[in-house]
Amino acid sequence: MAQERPALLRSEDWWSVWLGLTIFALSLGTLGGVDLLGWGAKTHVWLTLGGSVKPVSPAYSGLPGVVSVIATYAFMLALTSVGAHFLGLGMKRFVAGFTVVFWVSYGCWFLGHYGYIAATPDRLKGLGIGWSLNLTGEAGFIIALLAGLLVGNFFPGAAARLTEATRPEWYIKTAIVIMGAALGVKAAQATGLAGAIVFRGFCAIVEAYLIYWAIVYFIARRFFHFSREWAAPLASGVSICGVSAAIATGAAIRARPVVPVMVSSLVVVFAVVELVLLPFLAQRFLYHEPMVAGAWMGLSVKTDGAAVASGAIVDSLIRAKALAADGVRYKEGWMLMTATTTKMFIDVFIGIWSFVLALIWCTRIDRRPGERISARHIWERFPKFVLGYVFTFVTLLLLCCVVLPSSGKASLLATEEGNTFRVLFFAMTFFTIGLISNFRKLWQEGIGRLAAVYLIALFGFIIWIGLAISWVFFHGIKPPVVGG
Amino acid sequence: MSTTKPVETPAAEPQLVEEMSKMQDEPLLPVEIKLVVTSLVLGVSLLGLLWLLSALVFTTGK
Repeated sequence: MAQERPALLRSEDWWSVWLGLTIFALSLGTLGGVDLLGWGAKTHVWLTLGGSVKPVSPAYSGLPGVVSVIATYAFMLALTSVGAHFLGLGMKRFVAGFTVVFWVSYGCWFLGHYGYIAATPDRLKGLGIGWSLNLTGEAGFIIALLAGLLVGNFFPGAAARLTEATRPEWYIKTAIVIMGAALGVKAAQATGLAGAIVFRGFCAIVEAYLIYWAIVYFIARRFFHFSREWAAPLASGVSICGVSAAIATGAAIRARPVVPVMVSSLVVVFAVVELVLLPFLAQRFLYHEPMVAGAWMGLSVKTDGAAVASGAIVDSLIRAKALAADGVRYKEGWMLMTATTTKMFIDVFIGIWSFVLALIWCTRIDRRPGERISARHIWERFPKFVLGYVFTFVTLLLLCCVVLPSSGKASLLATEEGNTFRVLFFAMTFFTIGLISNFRKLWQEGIGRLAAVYLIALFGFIIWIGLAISWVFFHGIKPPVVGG
Repeated sequence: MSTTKPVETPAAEPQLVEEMSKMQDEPLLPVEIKLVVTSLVLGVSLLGLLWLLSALVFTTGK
């Protein structure tokens, strides 16, 4: 059934665009004086339950917090259910699974806002507490990830029942489309800096495709004696964009499906390890160089979900640390923007890269008579959600800079309203990444050789070259300061 | 990127050990060496060029 629909309606990639654009379009109502999403639940740092959750817009201040959360759930369920229907998912299982995923993720997000966990130094006095872990509300993401890992690894039966709604890539791509608008408003506030970040995104392409890939492929072939069929998807999985790159490369060189599937399993597991380690390392050693830290996440952490998620965590951790250590209050979102831009520049070239590999394999390595490669190959592998991100980013940038320069407040409210849904899609991404990360795979017989190449490549040089190049291109660049 | 999740299919799991043991040693072809070397040379040169451009043109924020 789903197969008969046009591609625009049957791919998860396109549906992330449609969902993101729907939320984006509704949030723009504020520009015309119509507040359509102001009832969305915004969670505040709390010590007691009263006032911990409120509608995001003052226009809905009379609405109780609990009603706001339930309305947010109902809205997100309705929206994703439309997508699930067109994707041909089992609706009963999706609705049940989504309900569990949403409420567990929201519970984690809410818990992450507990004062003793989240409060930054400037908030301690107001809350009447003497200490906190200083993690900001984004601690909720880490709690969601841990909850997912717990369920995925110790209660596989429960995790299997949530399969229909365990879609981290869908959730993160939808969140990225929504996030484009917020980043567009930020870019409008500092166009020069945003331009510099975008330009430096090109470096990410060069690094991932021309340097990482070549080294990993050579190591896998020369020292670990992998066949070409295994070495190419493995090199793409480690060096480019994880799961999608491994699959695209596998298809380009006509590897058997088992190859990218195995590589992908490994990518997901190690991406979680990176997600847990690197943001804290960055907070410890790079809080004086916030943009280096953001770029480092985009260059080093594999899979879109984990890379953008680590950008979000590093953004909150470094802002909190800079405030506590130096009294500097950086504006929110610039490190996340750097990580996202870097990652997306890498993403958009996957189609071209797989085209190049297909061409080389087809003409030089694995010649098959009569076989031809077309440019359609590139479009088929182009990540469509990037179109949604660029659209929301450019629309808000133009609105703020050119069309309605006086719409600053309304634009900010619009992005804040979109943001309430964006963070919940993020939280669900973290939880579902945990659900699908099966660490027992690492102990599976036979995976050692594959894991060894991955481990050596990732922790031996990829994250360090990523750090060095991020340093070269981003050191000395600071995010704007609040009130600066 | 891709919508395909790394779901462990029951059919795929037990194949790994077998697949790994079946893998034959294929010597590196000259075209593979050429691909690796060209990539690295091009990559390092382009990074140098981009660094120069970023230092000369996109200096905002420093």
